[in-house]
Formats: sequence, structure tokens, C-alpha cells
Amino acid sequence: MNLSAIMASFSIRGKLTLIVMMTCSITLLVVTGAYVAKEASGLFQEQRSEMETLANIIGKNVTAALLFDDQKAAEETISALKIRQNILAAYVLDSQGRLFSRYLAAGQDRESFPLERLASGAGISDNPALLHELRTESERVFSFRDHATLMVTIREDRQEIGALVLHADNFLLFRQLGATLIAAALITIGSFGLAWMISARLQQVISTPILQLVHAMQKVSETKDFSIRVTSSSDDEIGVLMTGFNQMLEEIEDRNQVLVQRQEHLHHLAHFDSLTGLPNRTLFYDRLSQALHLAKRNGMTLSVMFIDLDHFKDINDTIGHRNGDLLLTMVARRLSEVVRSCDTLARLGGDEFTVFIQDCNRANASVVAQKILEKLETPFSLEEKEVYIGCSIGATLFPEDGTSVDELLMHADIAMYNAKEAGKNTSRFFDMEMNQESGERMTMQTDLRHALARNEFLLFYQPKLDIQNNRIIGFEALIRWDHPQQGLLSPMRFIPNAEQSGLILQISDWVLQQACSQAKTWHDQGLGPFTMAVNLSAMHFRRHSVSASVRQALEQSGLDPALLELELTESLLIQNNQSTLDTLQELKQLGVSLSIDDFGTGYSSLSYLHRFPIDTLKIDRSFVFTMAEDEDDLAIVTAIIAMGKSLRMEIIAEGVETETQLSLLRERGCNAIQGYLLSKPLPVSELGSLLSDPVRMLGYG
Amino acid sequence: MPLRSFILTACLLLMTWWLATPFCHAAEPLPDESQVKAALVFNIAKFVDWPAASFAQDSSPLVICTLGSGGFVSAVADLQGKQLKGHPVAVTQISRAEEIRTCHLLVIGNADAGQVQSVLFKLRSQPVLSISDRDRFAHSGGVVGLYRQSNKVKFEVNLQAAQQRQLKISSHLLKLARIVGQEQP
Repeated sequence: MNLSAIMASFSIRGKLTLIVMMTCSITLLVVTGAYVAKEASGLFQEQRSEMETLANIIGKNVTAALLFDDQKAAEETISALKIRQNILAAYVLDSQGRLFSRYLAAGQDRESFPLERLASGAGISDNPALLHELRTESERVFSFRDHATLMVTIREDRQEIGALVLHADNFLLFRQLGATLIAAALITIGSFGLAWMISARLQQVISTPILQLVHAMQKVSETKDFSIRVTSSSDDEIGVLMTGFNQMLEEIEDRNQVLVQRQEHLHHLAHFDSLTGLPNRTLFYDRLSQALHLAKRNGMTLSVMFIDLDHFKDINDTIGHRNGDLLLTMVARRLSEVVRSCDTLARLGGDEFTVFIQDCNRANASVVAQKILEKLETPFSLEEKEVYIGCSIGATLFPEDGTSVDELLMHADIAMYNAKEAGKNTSRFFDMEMNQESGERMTMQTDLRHALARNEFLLFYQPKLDIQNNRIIGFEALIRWDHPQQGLLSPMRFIPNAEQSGLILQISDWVLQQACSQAKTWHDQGLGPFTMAVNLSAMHFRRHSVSASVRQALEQSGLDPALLELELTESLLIQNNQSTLDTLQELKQLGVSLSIDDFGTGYSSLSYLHRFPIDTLKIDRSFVFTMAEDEDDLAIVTAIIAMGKSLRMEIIAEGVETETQLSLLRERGCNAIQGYLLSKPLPVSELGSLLSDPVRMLGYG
Repeated sequence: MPLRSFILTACLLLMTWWLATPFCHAAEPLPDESQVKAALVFNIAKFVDWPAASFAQDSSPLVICTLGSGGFVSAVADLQGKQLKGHPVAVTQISRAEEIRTCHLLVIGNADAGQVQSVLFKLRSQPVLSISDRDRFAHSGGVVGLYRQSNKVKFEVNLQAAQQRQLKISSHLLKLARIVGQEQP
């Protein structure tokens, strides 16, 4: 573990204190060490110089004694050293190195000094070890033995006449040294303590603002409160850091605010319908599943309703999409008024709404459904027009009709479908039979797919009679399905299903080709001339391929286009736009004639009639059916005929069943009729005389 | 002849040794007292300062004059050429008192007492250090006298005589010497 690794684990306070303390300690130790060393050196030098001075004096003083071999005089001389308490012993050696005289301070043991080992009468040069020891000791200024040694040669007139060895006590020196060391240690400790106190204060200058920053940062990350700010107190880098920190927080706060707003917006987008502001499918599913959990636990009931607006597509086409959207918003507002705040009303898309009502039994649910229907009875005013719209409601109950969100919604959808079937603007509760019917629908869809391949479709033909000339002028081709199990089915049974599944396109193409071929066959057989009328579904028409389909059918059959008549629904023409007009023009250019089926039942204005290249109007059977009894209907029929005439259109009445109707129509100048009075739709094989003898004298025979 | 002279020499030496033996025994531990005395002269001279005028130059010789004869004088003659206080030593045998003026040191051996007295008298104000092993030499006007004490050659100094002769004798030397006074004749 190195120093930086250890430092890393310290707090910033610890680090700063440590740095200051380390710097102080090193400086202190160096200074103290130098001081002690200098003191020690001074003490040693002082002692040394004192010894040298003494040795010089003694040396001079014993010169004569040595020269004159006067040991006594030498001893007297060196005994003067006793006034120097630190001199423990002194030895004078003669020129031969023999011990000449000695001085020992009181209480000193002879054995502790090396020269005492010198044999009596022997010269020191005979004992090299001893000489070496003495020289070494003498050269050592800093001696840490208990005594210091100095050996000097005594010279007289450049001649070595002897030597002097001094031993000085180191005790005093050591005591002084010890005192110095203690003083130094005390100063060091004192300075260290002072440095500690000062560093503890000084490090706060740096650490306090940094710690303030750290605390602020921790608080921000704990509380996510970005409105926290630090107060900057200095103009140095830390001050800059704090200002930067504050700016960063400000930036984050701003962005966070924007983010929160966007999140809320996104959340709203994800869970609410942007048009009506109602919960969307996701939120509805979520809330419903929670409500179901709650209901399961508490043993409560719950009702889910599927609300689908009736004829919304047609109305939307009539009033325009903008107004359609406005209408949806208004409907949503009204529906909300019915629903309690604890229940959820949602828009699943288009004109589909759903609602679930908590703690709700069948009786309550019917009341709610009834309220909804009543709410929509009042017309909506859109651009000063009054728009009526109803709805079909399918209701399910938890737990008897299903226990899961999907199940309940699916069953509500089926119930709603039943309500539609039952004539719209009503409500239906789900029951198991509906489920079965729904299953049948599913089966039928599968069967439909196979029907084309298995050639199960066939065409029936209903003749049209020119009532002015009593001649069969043409036929309307009507599709039938020879279902393997259910027998012959009318288009009412399977066309809606075919429209739902998209099979209508293929079926329409088949009808076109089949009808054209039949007409051509008749023509080739010399029958007629008969026109062939084919119904074009709205879906087929909206696909721009319709003119291509017609052209193909004409080309394949080789039929004269003039003999082909295409019947369009009135609602199809309500889309008063350029593409509709273009398509009609294209068809017209092929040479076919166009007629409007079920005229009078649509919601449209009549303004489109003169804009579109329409040849024939077919008066809806509902008017014809009651016109003999109802003055109003007769008036309408009369008006339609008059209008058609003035627009130079042919008028055909559908559903003519009685002679009265025929004569009324004939009187008003209606061109042709179609209906059971003449003939019901028949297969080719049963047309018989209708083909070969087209002149009919209805009402006259 | 060579043989004879060899034998003679050998016999003489033997005789000398034999004759000397009892003396030598008595003089232990100083086998050659003359040389010791000569050495003493040399060493004593080291502790004496002559007046500055005594030496013409720093390199001027330190002249030791010898008066009389004997082993001591001959031993002193051997000091010729040595260095003493930075001066080369020159030893001269003198016979007359007049010759003494050039001397720094006068070593007196076996000589006529009258002659000695005469020389000493003449030297009484001359800066000449007179040394002799004659009995009571210092007492009788000599500066340094050598004497024997317990088998050792010691010396005595007549301080008065030294002062008269402007000779400064080191206290170190004086400490080792026996100080004697002038005896009135």
C-alpha cells in the first residue's frame, strides 16, 4: 500500500491536515536535527579544543621533565590537571614510548584506560594494537564512549621527545547533549502541537467550502431537490467551483422542469385520447384490470359497456372531418356527464367508447345504458345545423359474463354488435347465445374464403320492366351463396361479413365478370337487348381499382359497355369530392351507365345529383311500399320522378308489388319498375320466357 | 707484528674492561656519564635564551667552547654540527680566557682551578652560559653546575649569575634544577 493509496482513504480534512502536518514535521525534524547536530558538534569541538589546549600546555610543561628524565617533575606538572574535573587521566610517554608518568583523577579506576595495559618498561611501539587503538580514539572527535581520548606528540626543537595522552570524561558532555535533545524534543513537540492547531484551522479555509459543496451535492442526490444552492464566500477557484455548481444546478433544475412537463405530456399522450381528453385504450385496460382485482377481492359486481355511435361514418362524411371530430368531443362530454367520477369512460378509437361502472348490477347497468341513450337523443348543434346521432350499447357484467378485461370487452363488443343488428340506437346485454352467433360469424368468414374457390356463389337476376312500353329492358344481378350447410343465403347474411373481412373486393369482381358474361351470352343468343345492372359496394368503389375491374370484366366478356349499368349507393356519392367525381368520370368514359340505388334514404343534399354523371335513379322500396297509403311518401315519389325527369335521368321504382303501385308510378311518368309484381330474382335457368318474350303486359293480363 | 699488536690491543681492551668493571658497576645505570652530561648540556641549552645580539644572524652558529679536558669535554665535542634552537652547533676547544668572547656556551671539563676562576671572572658580564661538572661550580660563579645524585646526573643553576650574564633560563628548566646562590669567595 503506497502513500497515495493510504491518502485516498482519508477525508479531505484528513488529507489537508496530513499534508500540513507532514510538511511541518519534516521541516521541524530537519531543523531540530540540524540544531542538535550543531549543538553536539559544538560540544564535541569545544571539548576537543579544550583537550588540545590542555595537551599543549601540559606538553610544553613536561618537555623539560622529559628531556631531563625527571618523572617526578612530570607527575607534578600533570597533576595540575586535577582542577579540571572532566580530565579523568593523563599519561606522559617518553621518546621510546614508555610510560613516563601518569595522572589519575580521584576515584578513577586504572583498568579503564588503555595505557595501563602497557607492560612496564615496554614502549608503545612494541604494542601496535594499543597504539592503533589510541590513535583511532584520538582521531575521533565525536566519541560516544564514556571518555574521549587525545594523544599528542610532545616535540622540542622538532624532535619528538615523548607523547601525552589525555582522557576526558564524556559524562558532562552527554548530559549537556541530553539536555539539548530534551529541549529540542520539547520544542519539536510544542511546534508540532502548534502546527496541528494551526493546520486544523487553516485546512478549514479549503475544506469547509468543499465540504459544503459535498453536503449540498449529497442533499441534492438524496432529495432530488434541484433548488438547493450553495453560498459562495470566496473569489478563488473554490468560489468559481461553487458558482459553477450553482449554475449547473440551475441548468438541471430548468431542464428537469422541462423534462417533468414533457413527461407529464407524454404520460397524458400515452394514456389519454388527444381529441376528447378521455382515457385511451391503454389507460382503460389498466384501470379496468385494477377495478377487476378490487371487485374480485371484495366480491363486488362490475359492468363494462361498449358504446358505438350509429352511422358515424356517414355523418362524418356529410359534415366533414373537422366537424366530425367536434361531434366526437361533444358526445364524449355528454357521456362523461352520465358516468360517475369513480367510473372510467374511455375512447378506444374512431366512434367507439367504453365505460366500466363499479359496484353495478344488471338493473343499474340498464339504467346507465338508458341514460346514455337519452343523453344522445338531444341533437347536437354544429355550425348552426342540428345533427342527430344515436349509439348502440353492448353491456357485460362481471363476474357472470367474464372475469378478465379481454373477455368482458370482447363480450361487450358482441353485445354491441347485437344491438346494431337489432336496429341500432339501443342497448343489449351480453348472453351466451350471442357468443354463439358471434362464433357463427367467425365460421362464416372462414366459409366465405372458401366459397369463391369452391364456386359456391351464384347470381340471381331480377328483371326491370319499362312500364311505358311494357318491355323487359334489363336485369339486376343479385348474388346468392349456396352454403353447403345452410343452403341458399341472401346477401344480407354474408355481405356485411364479407365487407368486414375485405373479401367483398374479390366477390364484387366475380359478380362483375359473371354478370357481364351472362349478358354477353344473352346478347350472343340474340336475346334482348337487356341491360345488366351490378351493385358496386362502397368499399369497392373507394378502391381506385374499380374502373380497372370494370374494364377487365368488359374486355373478358366482350360485352357492349352500353349494356352494363353500375348501381351505386347514395352514401357513396355523399363524399362530395374530386376523387369520387374522377372515378365516376372514368367509369362513364368506359361507356357504362350509372345509377343510384335506394335513392331517397341517404342523408345528403340533392346538390350532388347534377354534378355527377348519373343516368338513372332507383327509388327506394320503402317509399314505393307505402306510397299507396301514405300521401307523404307518394309526394316524395312524385317529387323524385319529377326531379329525375327535369335532370334528364331515367327513374326506376324498386320493390313494386301491387298493381296500384304500378299504376301510380305509370301515371307519374316513372320509366321502369322492378319488383315481385313482375318477378322475384331468379336463377338463369328459371328466367325462361322473361328472356325469350320480353314484352309484358302487367296489370293487363 | 700485526699479531703482536692485535694481542696487545686485545689485552689492553680486556684490561680496560676489567678495570672499568668495578667503576661501571658503581656508576649504574649510567654506563657513559660523559655522554649523558653532554646530552644534558645540549638539552639545557634549549631552555636558555641568549640576548639577541649574541647571534649575528639566525643562521649564525651556536658556539660551544670547551675548556679543559676529559670525557665530558670530548663528548661535548661530538655535538659539533647538530642543530640547536635553529642554529648549527660549533664546538671549539679554547685555552685562553680571551677566546671566550665568541662563545655562547662554555663547557668546562678537567681544568686548572685558577684558570677556571679567571675565566669565570672574565665572563661575569658576558652572555655565555657556563656549564661544568666541577664540584660546586654554580656556587662559585658558574651558571649551571652538574652533579650526581642517587645515580643520576642532576643540575643546579646560579640564577644570579645567569641574570648577570643576561641569560634567560626557562622556568621549565628551573623547575627541574636546584637553584643555588653565589658563595662569596
